[in-house]
Amino acid sequence: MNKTLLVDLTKCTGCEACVDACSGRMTSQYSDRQSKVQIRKDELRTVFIPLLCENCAQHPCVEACPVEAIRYNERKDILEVVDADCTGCGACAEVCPYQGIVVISEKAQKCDLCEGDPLCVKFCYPGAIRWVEVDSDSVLADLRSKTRKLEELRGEHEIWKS
Amino acid sequence: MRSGSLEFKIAKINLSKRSVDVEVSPRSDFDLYLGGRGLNAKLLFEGQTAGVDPFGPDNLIIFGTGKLVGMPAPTAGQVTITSKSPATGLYFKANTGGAWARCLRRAGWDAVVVSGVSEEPVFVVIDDETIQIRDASPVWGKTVRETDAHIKNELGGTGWDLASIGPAGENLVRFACVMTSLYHAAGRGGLGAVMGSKKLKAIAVRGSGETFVADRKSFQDEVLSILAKIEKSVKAKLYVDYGTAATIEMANEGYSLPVMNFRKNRLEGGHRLGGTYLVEKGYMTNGAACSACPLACHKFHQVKEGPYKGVSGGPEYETLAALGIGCCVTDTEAVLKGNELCNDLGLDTISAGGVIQWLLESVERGVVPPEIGEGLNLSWGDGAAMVELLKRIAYRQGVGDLLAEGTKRLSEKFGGDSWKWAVQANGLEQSRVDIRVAKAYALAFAVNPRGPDHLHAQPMTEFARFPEAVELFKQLLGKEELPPATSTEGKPELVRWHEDVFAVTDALGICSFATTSSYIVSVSSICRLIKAGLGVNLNEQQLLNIGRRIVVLERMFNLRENPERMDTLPFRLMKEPISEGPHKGQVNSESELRDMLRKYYRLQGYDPETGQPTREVLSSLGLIPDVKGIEDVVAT
Repeated sequence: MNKTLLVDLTKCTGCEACVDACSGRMTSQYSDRQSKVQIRKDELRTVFIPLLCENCAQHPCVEACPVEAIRYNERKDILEVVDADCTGCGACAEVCPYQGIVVISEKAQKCDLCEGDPLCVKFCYPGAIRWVEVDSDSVLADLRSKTRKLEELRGEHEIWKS
Repeated sequence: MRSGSLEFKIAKINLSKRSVDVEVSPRSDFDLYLGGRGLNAKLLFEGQTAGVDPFGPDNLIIFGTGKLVGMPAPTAGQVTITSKSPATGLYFKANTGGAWARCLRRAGWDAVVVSGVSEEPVFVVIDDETIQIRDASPVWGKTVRETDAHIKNELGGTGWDLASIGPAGENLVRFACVMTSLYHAAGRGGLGAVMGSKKLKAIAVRGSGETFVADRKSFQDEVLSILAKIEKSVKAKLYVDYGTAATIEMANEGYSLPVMNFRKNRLEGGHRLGGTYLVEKGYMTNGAACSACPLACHKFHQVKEGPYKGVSGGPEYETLAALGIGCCVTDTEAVLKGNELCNDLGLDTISAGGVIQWLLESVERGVVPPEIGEGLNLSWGDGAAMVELLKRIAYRQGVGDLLAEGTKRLSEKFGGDSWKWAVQANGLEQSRVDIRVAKAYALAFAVNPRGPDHLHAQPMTEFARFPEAVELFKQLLGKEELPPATSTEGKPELVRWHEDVFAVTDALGICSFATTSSYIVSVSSICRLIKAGLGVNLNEQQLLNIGRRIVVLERMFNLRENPERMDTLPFRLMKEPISEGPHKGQVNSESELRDMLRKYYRLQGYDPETGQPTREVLSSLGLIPDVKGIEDVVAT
């Protein structure tokens, strides 16, 4: 069964505990730059949006990659960036509808779902990031609603463009 | 040096000289004061002498974050702002959340000290290690939201957060606040006016650096165990669901809410300002957390249509109680507009509500002529007048220019008996807690170096309303039978513990709603966070001792400033008993307060009559010899 990180926009409070959880998982430092989850904040319009790879079924990043560096893992359930092949061109990051890929040190980096036990989910007390099975239309509808919200905000405001 | 160090990297900005100096304080400052509020207290004490004009170039305004900020320690997103207050002329610290503190730490700084006065409006930009002073004339006169949008646009990119002032700060309103992340306020004491006097509109900061953790696995385990505790905590759940507004209904129904300038204790229709009502009617929407805070007690609110249409952050209990309940305004939307205006104009809602109530009572009693309102209906319960008065205060128009001075100066100006209903002590309007029904709170308010308010010690445990509070109460008293909130028994001990823990909390950059109030982060848990996060072994007693050191140092500042200052409470609460409800007859009598003070002084090792810290206490805490000049203040 395919699982995904499902973001509930109405629950995110912008605390960024997920960002710290992610960057501090493998290293002894907390840093926004090293995190594969980012929070876009717009206090003016009272919205916070966690941006991360949602392991989506459409995966436009795979098609965009000129060197086929984004491939499924051995279990065939999680897309991973193969560092050795990645040229850091950033094409994947540009097409990702969730802004879930960042280029750090000339390598594309995305959430690897903590080998099936995402730490950001445990740190997200309000339950804005959940780790769920994609077993129903409602889950897919939720995913689409977030994409729409992002598109809408991008159109309106400068900070969503970067 | 990066954020893993236990030294403090301090930016010293002089706006008269337009200079920026970098200082690194020694490790001993961490051992003695932890940082944040503690380090600020030392910097302020040593950085100025007695008698400095709060609006002059020699007053410092210090922004200090704690060493846990930048880590995902639950609620570690606070910055303490410390200065000499233009409201009280005394020591003042105020604290605020949002994301500003985290940004500052990630930029590699622990504290920013601003001195001097600029000739032209400026804002400071801290972009990692780079600090610039820039022209703020395009945003001078603008609201907090306008300023935020303009400056972020000018700077470009993402990740910026601002500490800024609105028109109230520029116009030197003595209760102007400093706002961070748009809607979070370092509310009290007029620190926004200190920024205004320096022509400092904002400090914009972003940080791309990292915060080092000593033992990430243990740290993670401690964080997850605190999150699990929140899950079981009734009080934490109230913060999560309704924010501080949750308390309104309970206090109103229990006749412990100050209504009509502390003359009544329950307001008909008051539930329309309560947390459940705000959520059910769709006024209060999603949470807007400070960094790393699971509670997100701060909310957004909206009014979708009508004359009070708008969006902002909050509202907090204190705001609803000051602008709403206190003024007898039960029109939810008017109060929300009042909150939005205070956020945007940069006004402390508590003092704003305090001066308006003083005005309404003074008009009612004939001390102030009603014409002063220039067309406004200055009687109880008029929401439109309250909203309009807030604007006039921030822009110092008409009667607003007088109200902007605070109730102490107002009553001195208008004379008569009007000082009797100026519900202030030492120049600060009391926050919206009726301390006549809660005697630990009364003592905590009296000894608070800021003046009578709740953010020095929050002895919530005396109400014994939920299991964590009951357990702590029993532990601190060493007995099973608990006295009621209206009893003075054991209250000095309670206050002492809460003061020490509160100081440690502020010094580390975590939130008092976690360590006091809801008690979800225990002292032992703080020790574990320090051990895992910073690699320092401190036991509970050592930690509380640091808290005590900070409390005493702050008291010494006030002693140096004004030896005549007394630990006291507003006249009304000491002379006029509660007039209705189950607590009818309760009062903070002079003898009762004196009795609690004596016990408290003795516990603290102060002179039991004067309340002055003795040389022995200062030496045993290490303040002598660590703090320059402190020895000269102590009585020989």
